[in-house]
Amino acid sequence: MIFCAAADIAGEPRATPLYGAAASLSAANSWTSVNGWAAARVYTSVEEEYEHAAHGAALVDLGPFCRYTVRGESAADLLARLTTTPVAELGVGESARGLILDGAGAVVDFAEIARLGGDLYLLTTTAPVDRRLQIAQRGFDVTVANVARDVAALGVVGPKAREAASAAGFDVQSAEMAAQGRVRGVELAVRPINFGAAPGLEIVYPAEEALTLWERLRRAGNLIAAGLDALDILRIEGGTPRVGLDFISADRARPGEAMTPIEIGLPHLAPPNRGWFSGRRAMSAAPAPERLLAVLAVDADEVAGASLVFFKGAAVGRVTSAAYSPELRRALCFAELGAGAVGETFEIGRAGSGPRVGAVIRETAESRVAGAFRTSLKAATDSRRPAV
Amino acid sequence: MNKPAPKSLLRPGPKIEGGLDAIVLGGSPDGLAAAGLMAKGGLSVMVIENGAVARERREFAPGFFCDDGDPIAGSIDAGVVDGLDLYRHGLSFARRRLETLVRFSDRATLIFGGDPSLMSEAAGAMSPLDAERLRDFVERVFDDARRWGAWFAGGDRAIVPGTDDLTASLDQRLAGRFKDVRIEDYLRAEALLRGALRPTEPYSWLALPHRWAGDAAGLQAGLAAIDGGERALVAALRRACQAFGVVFRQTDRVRSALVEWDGTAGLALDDGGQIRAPIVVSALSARESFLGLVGRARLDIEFANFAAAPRPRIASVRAHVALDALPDEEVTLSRPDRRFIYAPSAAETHLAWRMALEGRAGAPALAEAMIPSAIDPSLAPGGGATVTMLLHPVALYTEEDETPRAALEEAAAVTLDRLLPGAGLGFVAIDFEPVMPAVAPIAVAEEQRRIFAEATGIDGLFFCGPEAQLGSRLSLASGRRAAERALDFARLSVKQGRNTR
Amino acid sequence: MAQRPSYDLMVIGADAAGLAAAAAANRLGGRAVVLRAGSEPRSAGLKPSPPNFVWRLLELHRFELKTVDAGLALTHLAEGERVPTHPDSARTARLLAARDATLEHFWPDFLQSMARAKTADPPQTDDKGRRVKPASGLALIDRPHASAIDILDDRFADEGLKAHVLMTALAPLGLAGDEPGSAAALFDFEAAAAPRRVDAEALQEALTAAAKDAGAIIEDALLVSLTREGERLWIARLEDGAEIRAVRAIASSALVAEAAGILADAGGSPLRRQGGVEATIRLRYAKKPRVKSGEGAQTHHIVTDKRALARARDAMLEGRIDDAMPMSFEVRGREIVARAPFAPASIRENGGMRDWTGQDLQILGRAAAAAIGRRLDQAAGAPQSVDAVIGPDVAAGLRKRDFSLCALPVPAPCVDAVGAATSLVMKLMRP
Repeated sequence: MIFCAAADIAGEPRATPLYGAAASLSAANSWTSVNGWAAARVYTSVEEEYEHAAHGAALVDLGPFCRYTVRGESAADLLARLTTTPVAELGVGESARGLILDGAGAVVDFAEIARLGGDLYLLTTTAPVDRRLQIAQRGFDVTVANVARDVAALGVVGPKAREAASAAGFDVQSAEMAAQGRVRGVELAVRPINFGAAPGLEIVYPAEEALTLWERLRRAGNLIAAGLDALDILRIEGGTPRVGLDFISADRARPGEAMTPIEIGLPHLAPPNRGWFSGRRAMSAAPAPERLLAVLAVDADEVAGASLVFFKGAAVGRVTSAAYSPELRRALCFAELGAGAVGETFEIGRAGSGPRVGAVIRETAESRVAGAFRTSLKAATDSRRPAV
Repeated sequence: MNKPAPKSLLRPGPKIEGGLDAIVLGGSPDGLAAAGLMAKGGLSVMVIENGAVARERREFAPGFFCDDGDPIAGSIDAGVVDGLDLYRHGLSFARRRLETLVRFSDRATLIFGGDPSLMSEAAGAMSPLDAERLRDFVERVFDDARRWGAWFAGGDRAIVPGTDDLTASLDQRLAGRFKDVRIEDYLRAEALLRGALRPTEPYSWLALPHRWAGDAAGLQAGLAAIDGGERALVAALRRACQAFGVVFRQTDRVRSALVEWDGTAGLALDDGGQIRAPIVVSALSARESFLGLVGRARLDIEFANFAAAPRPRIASVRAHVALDALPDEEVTLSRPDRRFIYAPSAAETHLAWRMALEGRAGAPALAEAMIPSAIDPSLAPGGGATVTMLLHPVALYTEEDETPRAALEEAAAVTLDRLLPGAGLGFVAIDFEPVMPAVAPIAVAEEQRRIFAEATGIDGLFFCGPEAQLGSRLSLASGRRAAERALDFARLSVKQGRNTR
Repeated sequence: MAQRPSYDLMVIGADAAGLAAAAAANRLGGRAVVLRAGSEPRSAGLKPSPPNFVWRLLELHRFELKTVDAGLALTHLAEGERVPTHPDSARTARLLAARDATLEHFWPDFLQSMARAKTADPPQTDDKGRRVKPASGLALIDRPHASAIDILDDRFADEGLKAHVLMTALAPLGLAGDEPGSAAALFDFEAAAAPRRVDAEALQEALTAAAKDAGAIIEDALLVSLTREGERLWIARLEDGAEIRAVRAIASSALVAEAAGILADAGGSPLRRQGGVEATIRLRYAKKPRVKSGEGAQTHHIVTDKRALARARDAMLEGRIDDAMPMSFEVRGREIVARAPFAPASIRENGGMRDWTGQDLQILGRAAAAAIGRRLDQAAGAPQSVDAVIGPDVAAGLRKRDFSLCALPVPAPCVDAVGAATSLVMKLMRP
């Protein structure tokens, strides 16, 4: 999951609780607004930040995500209905990810849910879903609160994230458990997250303590901070589409723009046999997808904006986002391909007769899981019915 | 959630019943029509009634009887009448081309015969200057009504009224059209009866073409009096259902609809028992059906919110009045087997709506009445007369409220005197049926029908409750459409090898 | 009888919207004429500045038209409670968060959904004339025939905020927000809360100049009758006996057309005024009046709650002057310009209807002065003069409509009348 790219909110961005710490590390002073929060694009250099996040560990201010606590007797029922996340199976301290679908089975947003206590869940989304929650909670015995303003959220991204956190005194013994506890008097929740292929941890704790923990982690592991641009490379490498860029949230889409889980390449996040969730029936009944999001590896270092994807000379899709991957030494891009675009190799270029470069479909962490999921779906004769 | 009941022979627990193809919840005319047609299509059907629909003729005052429900039919779905052979099962019309007598606020009257197109002639006589334009107007609306007939009936490939027709208000189309405002008053009354909207409000226009789209007894826009009223229609439907082998069950202990995966599996009862069937047709209200029986947790968020949307605060009430004699007034006495309508002035209409919306008791503006005893003297065996009167609009009130009821009686007395001048002198008793929420404007009702009846969100669950119907008159169309969908579903299930039992 | 040349477009209504429409038609290569209907509302006070496309098309920068930044719009509820909004939605969100923390999130969402609902074409039928699925997302809830109150009740618990929104977006149209379809006015909320405003009289002057500059003809004589010849010719007869012919005709607003007794086709907009008139009241004070705790506020509304709007609307339709008539006002130097959108067209007395008298206007003016006075600092004292006028009477026009003539296209009623009229012309003039 990565920050959404929807620029809905006008005006000056607000400072996240970690803004002070992030600003002091920002040599590049390059900021953007995500959900009305200030988010650093680059701190020092994209290459260095990418290097640390991909192979070591880096700090990230995860404040621009939207966070809600859902508390009450039917909190699990509400979240199981609102999201495709397997909420019912979550033990205390566990977390899981999924999608939020609308009544037509189209994707509204990503959703990550951590069960903090018996009846207390933390819902994290990339864009505000206050209104959807307001409607969804009617008739359920729950209290929903938007806590984005009250908590600091700090991410440690990279293969060495766990070591870095342990070094700072965090309890991160298990891979699945979102440990909840106190570190030197600060109440916090730790849970595993992914930025595309890079594993990581998210630590959520009261906003008043924002800077203390950040500093402790930074000093204990001698960590640098990674900005949005470096994370964007990681998420394209990992195959995670970005809301508002690679696809439009169904709640903000104009007619015809909304996409289903299959179309965004993440069918495994909304398995139709995972209990009942809002939009499931429409999703199951949806006609065959008309387009698919896929990651392409491009034979070039750069992809021009507004590029199209060609297959045997005909335009079959468009590039939705792109980044240079230092790992692969070439550009990677997300592209929306027409469902008819079967094949592995494409060409990318501007409309008209400009230069075109080759591109091949690249397997990512997400597309591997999606592939396995599709295979298992096919294996079952009718996965919509429970196995007898 | 729905644990299977223990099946020990020694300790019989809650019963699980099966062997059914379809369950119909609610014995309303539409529910019965759906049940009958499904049974005719080869399904084994059970109707669950909760006693809300009256089945017997009622003695509402000593020596005076009434048939509850609407005594008048505008357009009874031919598919149901023919499919269930309702005439053979006792449906009959007492008067096929009901004459209408309109009374205006200035006590003038307008009488026209069974064919509403004769109305322009009669009204033309009342106001010669308007005769021609009224004829043109009626012709145009009749044409529109015919063109949109398929859309009103829920056809898939029907001609849809344009935005301008959908949003127009009655006043926009009527005000200033005729020299004699009483013609406007009558047309307004015809369109507004039982509706939630005032004539000034957008979306109110379509009610008039809809009212004139139906054909009772083969005549567009004609009305007919059912012999025995809605009660007799229900009785005929029940007989037809029984002839096709429908089983009836009286219970008010249905707790919820069983939903297994995307489909329904029957009903759960209060005692933990179940009645299982792959098809459930609900003729209850949308709120009861979806929020009550299915539950929000199993509904899409948008759908549940739509089902919970606030409904109009306007209602109608039907009153039965016992008179020791019909008023000694020539117009009434000459043909008491007519339909009587009171057409108020625009100002009266507005005032009545405001009072009703504020929850205050006031004289309802619109009224429609029949004198059933003039058609069937056995309703008043000891002599005298009975009047069935529909009052609109009144505030939505509950049975417990004493004050509005007293005020309603007063209002009914005023209205009775407007419809049948002098009837108050012979007044013996009055009785009210439960108030009925006003029907949604046609455009809104069409959307409700589309959303509730055509995509309930749950396989095998079909809906033919009041929200699946357009307009207020008995029609049975939504029952027929629910049965058709259910039969399609059953056929598809068989084809896909799904066990339907 | 003087026969004048034929035009491409005849605009009935010489108000700002009509002038803008004529100027736009000429700028788009047509020849337009503006006719006075005599039913043009007398505009006063501040109006939303015409949208950018109108400025560009009519080159309004060439005419003396000063805009001012719209400050806060402030609704004065009962007992000193005030609800503010600002054209900057982020600022409004912060202001409203002081009332209720959740509003900080719900307010931006409200504005975005309304803007989306406005741009979303109502997907009703496909090319084969069949019903298609409703739009995805939460569109099902913001459905077109909902009332504004349905939509607000569904979103907000804050009654004060609802009253404020209704006063801003619905009251100027003569609607109280419980009418089916009135939700459409909320889709325009951002236009109603336009960030820049202009003086209504200055706008009228600038648009007159712009229309003349673009080559549009403005007739001085009043329109007497409108007829149609064949399919493609509208013929207007004026008071001075002139006959004007045009291929197309529009009215500057549904209000102008209906008050003149002409059938109006607003493209199916449900936002038509149901009756009654807007009254304008000017209050002159000895020194500049100051609104209590009204710093930074430019537009003020007075209403107790949303029910007060419905009560006033009902009184208006029944021909009564409501005791607590909701109104909006602005302070312009030593003058206060107030608008009361729910004034009856004629007054019911002894079972009949009669026209407004000078005495009625005095009663209305005094009521406005008293209601506004309660919101002012005492220092301003009582107004030196009170002057009330009422707008065109739709109901009278409705009674004399000619149904044999086909309906005249009019812009859909909205707060930004100039923008709506210009877009209608752009749609008509495009081949």
